[in-house]
Amino acid sequence: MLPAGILVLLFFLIPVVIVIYLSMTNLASANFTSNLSKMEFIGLENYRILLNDQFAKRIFFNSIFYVLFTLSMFNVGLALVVSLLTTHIPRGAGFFFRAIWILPRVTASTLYILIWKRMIAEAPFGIINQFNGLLGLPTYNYAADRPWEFVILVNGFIGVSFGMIIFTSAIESIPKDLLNASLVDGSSLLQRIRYVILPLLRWPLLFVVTYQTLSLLTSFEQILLLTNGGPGLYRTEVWSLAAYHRALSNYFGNAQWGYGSAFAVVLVLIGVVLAVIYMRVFRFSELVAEPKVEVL
Amino acid sequence: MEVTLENLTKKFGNVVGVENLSLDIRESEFVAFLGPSGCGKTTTLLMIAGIYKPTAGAIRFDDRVVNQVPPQDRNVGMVFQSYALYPHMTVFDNLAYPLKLKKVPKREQVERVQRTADAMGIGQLLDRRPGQLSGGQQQRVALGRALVKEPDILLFDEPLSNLDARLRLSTRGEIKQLQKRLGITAIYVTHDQVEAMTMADRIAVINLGHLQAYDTPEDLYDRPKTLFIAGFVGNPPMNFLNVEVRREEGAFKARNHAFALTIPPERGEKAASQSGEVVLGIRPEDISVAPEGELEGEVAVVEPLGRDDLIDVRVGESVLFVLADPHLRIRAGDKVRLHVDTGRVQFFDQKTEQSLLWS
Amino acid sequence: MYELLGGMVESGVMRSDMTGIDFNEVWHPTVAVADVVLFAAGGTWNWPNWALNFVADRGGDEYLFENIGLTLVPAMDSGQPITLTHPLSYMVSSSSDNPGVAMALIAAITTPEANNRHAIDSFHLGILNAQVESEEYAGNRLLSSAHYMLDHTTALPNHPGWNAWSSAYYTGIQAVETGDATPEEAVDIVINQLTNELGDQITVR
Repeated sequence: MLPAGILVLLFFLIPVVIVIYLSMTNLASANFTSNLSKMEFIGLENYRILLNDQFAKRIFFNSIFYVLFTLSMFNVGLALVVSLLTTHIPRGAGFFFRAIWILPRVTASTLYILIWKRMIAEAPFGIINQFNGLLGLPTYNYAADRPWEFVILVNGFIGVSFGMIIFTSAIESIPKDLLNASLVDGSSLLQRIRYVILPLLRWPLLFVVTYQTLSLLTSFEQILLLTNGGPGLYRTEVWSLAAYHRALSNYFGNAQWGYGSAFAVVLVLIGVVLAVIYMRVFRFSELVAEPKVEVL
Repeated sequence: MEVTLENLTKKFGNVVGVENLSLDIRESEFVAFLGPSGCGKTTTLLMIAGIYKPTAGAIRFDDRVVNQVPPQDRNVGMVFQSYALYPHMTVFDNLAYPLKLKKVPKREQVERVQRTADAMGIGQLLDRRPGQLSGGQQQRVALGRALVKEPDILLFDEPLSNLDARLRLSTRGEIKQLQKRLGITAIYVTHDQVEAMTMADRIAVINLGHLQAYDTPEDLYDRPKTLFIAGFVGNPPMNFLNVEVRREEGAFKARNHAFALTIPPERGEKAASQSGEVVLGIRPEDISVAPEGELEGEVAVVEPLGRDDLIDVRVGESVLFVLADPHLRIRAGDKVRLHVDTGRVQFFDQKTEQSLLWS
Repeated sequence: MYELLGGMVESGVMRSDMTGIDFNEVWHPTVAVADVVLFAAGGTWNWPNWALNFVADRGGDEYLFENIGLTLVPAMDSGQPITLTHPLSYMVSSSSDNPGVAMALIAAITTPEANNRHAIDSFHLGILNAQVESEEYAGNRLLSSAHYMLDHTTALPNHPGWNAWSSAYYTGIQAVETGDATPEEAVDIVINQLTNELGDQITVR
């Protein structure tokens, strides 16, 4: 308990306290100081500005949209489909396909996004458009016309691997006898998935949903590299990216750490609230205490 | 339902699971597949259930070849070693699951589950989950789940090996009775020969993927056709000695450097037809300690088994296992004389390992 | 300004995703080849980048001299040629531990030689008189041809609120360009953002 407590203190509580304090100052590169006592304390002024920001609402709902769709379609949905498919084919082939799905995760994000940008670039530069041209289809400017589709696709492809690994190992740890019993009892493969495998994946499912919600909420680098929140008025700007834009990436390096910190603090609050809700709704303590499949 | 296996072969890559297995199981018969672990008996069972597809050969249910029939269309019930109950379902749902998949109407499901559960003595446990049941109760649920859909064939994969000894004994009898009463063709996989001997009508002994023998328990025990069967069936195992059998002055004698035994003519004659050394087999319970015994030896080890003492007696260069009455208080180092019930000796060809008595 | 940009998109002379366009994948390779683009607004420093990275196989500098010309844009109100610079001031903080070293560093890099290297390699117009008078600078074909532009340069202001101002202004550009807002709405958006973030530091007229 104590070592865990120290870790939480060092890597969560102390940074949160520092960020909360920063969010109550007007610290920026123009008046930078590393001396806490010399920072100008302005109370909740940054939060007032944030609340009155005409785009805060759009950015907030962008985040919800992004998390909801990426999570349901890819991080959980496709992860589940890939795990189920690759555990129903010969082992070697299953391993091969899963290895492919891990590639986006292990590829450096800058390289990964470069690949995507080259894929979706407008004609005559983009690879997809080259094929469109060959097939006689109209060409598209995907980055401008379909920004959300690609933001979700790009992040989703990365997000599949986590759930896939968790689900696959959970499926493979279901005793063989249990799976055979279901077939002998008269189920088809699909019915076995529906009535036996999926119910036994309850715990890993809830774990992946919780963990990936929080991780998607705070991830922004792929969006930064792909659309940088655009096109137009914050069309794909999510909350964590807004925090980054305000605090760390301003033209000519005039960063607004104080204001950016206010964005970050809101994100921390959302994360903590969601974590508590998930724990309540999914009754994590009970799930953890439930006997595992092996202990029959 | 009759089940026929014809040259059944299953290979996993280069590894042979079962090879050229042929046997027939009659309507309502209770057959045990007996063999050490890894011998291919469970593989065969899973092929009959439809989980594995045979590499070669055929499986027939009555006249129908079922090689390509998926498990859900075979109407078999199976009890697994681990019971394989669905941990997320209640006992009721576990029992109702095969019926639900068969699209049996809800009302009928409830009736049949209740009836089966009552018959299994678990009628009051329907709301529980498997994790809340004892091993014996889980075993009954597993049996109930196999029976509730009224299968044509019942398959058992070592269903008793997770039970404690006392429960195993009583459940053994119950399963046997139940099978006889319902008249369902049953195949029972086990490595425990006592289970196989006590329950089965016929026993298929399988070793290294091959069928070694397929006979009634009595034949396997009293008339083993091969040296392997003679050594495999029976505990403690049969003793084997190298002897020469010759006709001497109208009687048949089995001799080696340490002893000579007189063999009854009906066995002796067949053994003597082989020139040179043959293998003589005699079960420990067919040797007794007796003052007028034909053999003399020295006791090396005494293992009390409760009802009997198992003693290892050194006779010449051989060691014989003998079951002795504990009241004799035999101790290691004692010199004893042994009487052999020569009416029960077996003879085998040294090279082919085939019985010289039964073929 | 917003009306002009909005109008250019509407009339089809400018793309609606100009600010979202991928520079390395699309903008540079399209503009540098100079076959479908009539006017492109860019910086002088684009030139060496194109010569080195985008048209090197077509002849680099030579190709650009043959196909591309430089000119200033006319100011909207007066029609006079105009261009912008944003000079940065290096300041030594009063809390600096080594103000002398900082001063020496600034002095060391503010030489005609150093600035000439920067000017010639990257086609940035000179910032020091001593630099402009040097033979190296005057003899450079590109720099001497564009040197007159310095006479029409105005400087952007420096202010702690500059960042808020410039990002708000840019937001307005994106808004009209992509059609997310009309020019009038864009102005409102910018004013709204500036008053929210800068408060009484900004006067809206």
